[in-house]
Amino acid sequence: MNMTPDQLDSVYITLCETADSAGEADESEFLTRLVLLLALDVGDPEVIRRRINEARMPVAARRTG
Amino acid sequence: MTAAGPDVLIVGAGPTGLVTALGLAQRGIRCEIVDADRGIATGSRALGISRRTLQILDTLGVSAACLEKGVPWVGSRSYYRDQEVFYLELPEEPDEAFPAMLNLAQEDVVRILLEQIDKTVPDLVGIRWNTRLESLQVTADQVQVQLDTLDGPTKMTAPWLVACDGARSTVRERLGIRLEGESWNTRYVIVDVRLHSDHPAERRAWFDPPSNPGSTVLMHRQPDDVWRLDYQVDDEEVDADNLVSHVVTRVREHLDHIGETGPMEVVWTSTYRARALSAPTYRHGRALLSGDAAHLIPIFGIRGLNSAVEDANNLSWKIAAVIHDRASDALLDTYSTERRAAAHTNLALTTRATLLMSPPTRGYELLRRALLGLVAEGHDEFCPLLNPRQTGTVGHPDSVLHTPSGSSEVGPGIGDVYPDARVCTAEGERGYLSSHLGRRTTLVVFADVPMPMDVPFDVEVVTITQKTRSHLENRSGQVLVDAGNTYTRWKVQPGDVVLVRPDGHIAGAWRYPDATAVAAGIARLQRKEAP
Repeated sequence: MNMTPDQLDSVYITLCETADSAGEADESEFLTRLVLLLALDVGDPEVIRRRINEARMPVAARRTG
Repeated sequence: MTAAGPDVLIVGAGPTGLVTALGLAQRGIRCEIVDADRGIATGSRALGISRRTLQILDTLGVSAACLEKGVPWVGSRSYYRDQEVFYLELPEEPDEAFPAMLNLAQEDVVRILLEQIDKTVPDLVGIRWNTRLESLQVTADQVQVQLDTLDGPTKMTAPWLVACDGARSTVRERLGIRLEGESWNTRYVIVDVRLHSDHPAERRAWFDPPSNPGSTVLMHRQPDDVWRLDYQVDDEEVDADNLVSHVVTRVREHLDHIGETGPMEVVWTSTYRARALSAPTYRHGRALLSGDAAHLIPIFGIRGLNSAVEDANNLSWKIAAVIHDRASDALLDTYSTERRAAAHTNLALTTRATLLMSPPTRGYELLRRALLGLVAEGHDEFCPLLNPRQTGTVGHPDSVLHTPSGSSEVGPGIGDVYPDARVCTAEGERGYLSSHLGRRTTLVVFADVPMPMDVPFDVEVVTITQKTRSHLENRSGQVLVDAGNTYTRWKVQPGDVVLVRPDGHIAGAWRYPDATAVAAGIARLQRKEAP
């Protein structure tokens, strides 16, 4: 992580706002497209697999219904 | 009243009005304060006093009384569901005279300020309770107000009026000024409970806690075993009729959840919606807006009362300079531009805190859930997003009163508040710089620059030496010896000269300057032509 706290904050807010503007119906597709594009930037399949694993919801935290 | 009328009429006897009055009276200005209430407004309002506010209160002689009563805190703890996810502790700072944060109820601050007025400047400050402002006319040379008192209507005139009458300011409304900005629909219940607890004083925030699923709860210690809780509620959940019973149930559940099982008593409740608003300008001829009358800052950044005290500290020396004919009234325009810019920054910071406390939309809600989940799983990289960023004051980097530093990076940032530091007086008494600065326009001379003795202006001179004072014995002004890290904290070396405004902000800094450059900087600060 080499972003400054301010840069991290700005990225966070941009994601909030863009998820909103995508709308509920297209929110998942927007986020998935974003992940695919960022995967191109990362370029390392091992890193991407590790992050996919970390991003999987722990069973306890999963929302039911 | 007109013949011996006040120089400044202050509307509102809250912290803003009283700090303004004390600041003016210290400079010999006569003030009359009117307030619609019968006396001190009781009940819980603002709570957190920042270090900067304590420095300002120190210049008014009341910091000791505040420190004696208040509860200092340095820690900030965040929980997600039933897990602690983030703890931030402000480092100890031996070079600072005052703690970073002090919890003290607004009514205690008001009581302390009133006592100080009574004790030190009763002849210069009059206070009229039960006096409601009905209307006002601002003309080219005065402000006339119509007041409603217990004895009927009366009139008063004064050359200047400062509106410190709060969020629902009558002055602002009568002047037809509209606030601009954002409001949010989320409601919060604010409650003070009496509870004996050994938990240290720190800020605690629970996101989505088991006691109040989906909500956010904040908790702070106040003096005398009183605790402040804020929690988010659904609109249909609470109304005026069931507020207290709602509070008793929800707060009890929360206290049980965090292991506080002792008896508790609700002493005060209120509801709140966050608003981030500012007037387009804080000066309307001879009427000035200050504190909540000028801007409404969401409570989550602890910047409401603190920015109001900074407003008052910015305004009082400027009004006094204009009344004493030491500056043109254009100086008061800089009050509006400087404090509006500061409000803009304070609003941005507190808006960010508000969005985290209560995500207003699906997107913000989604991101916050992801953020808290990741932090709870150990991704500390995201912790900066949970930092409440409540400390720190806002400078005035772009003020026309300041001399730009140019290419040389001398001293603290132009427009920033001076850094406090440990010093010894000529008599060998140890103390802090904050006991000497932030009162009058002051040239701070580092070590042995011969120049300032020839500066033909009415400013204080404080010389700070790193060695002994013997070689400086015949110098004018006060000599202080660095007893800590003054030179490092100020980013100066021997030969530097820094100009500090009466409100503690840096107006200029030079390295081995000639008297002309410093004189021009002083003239610029005082809105006068250099001789």
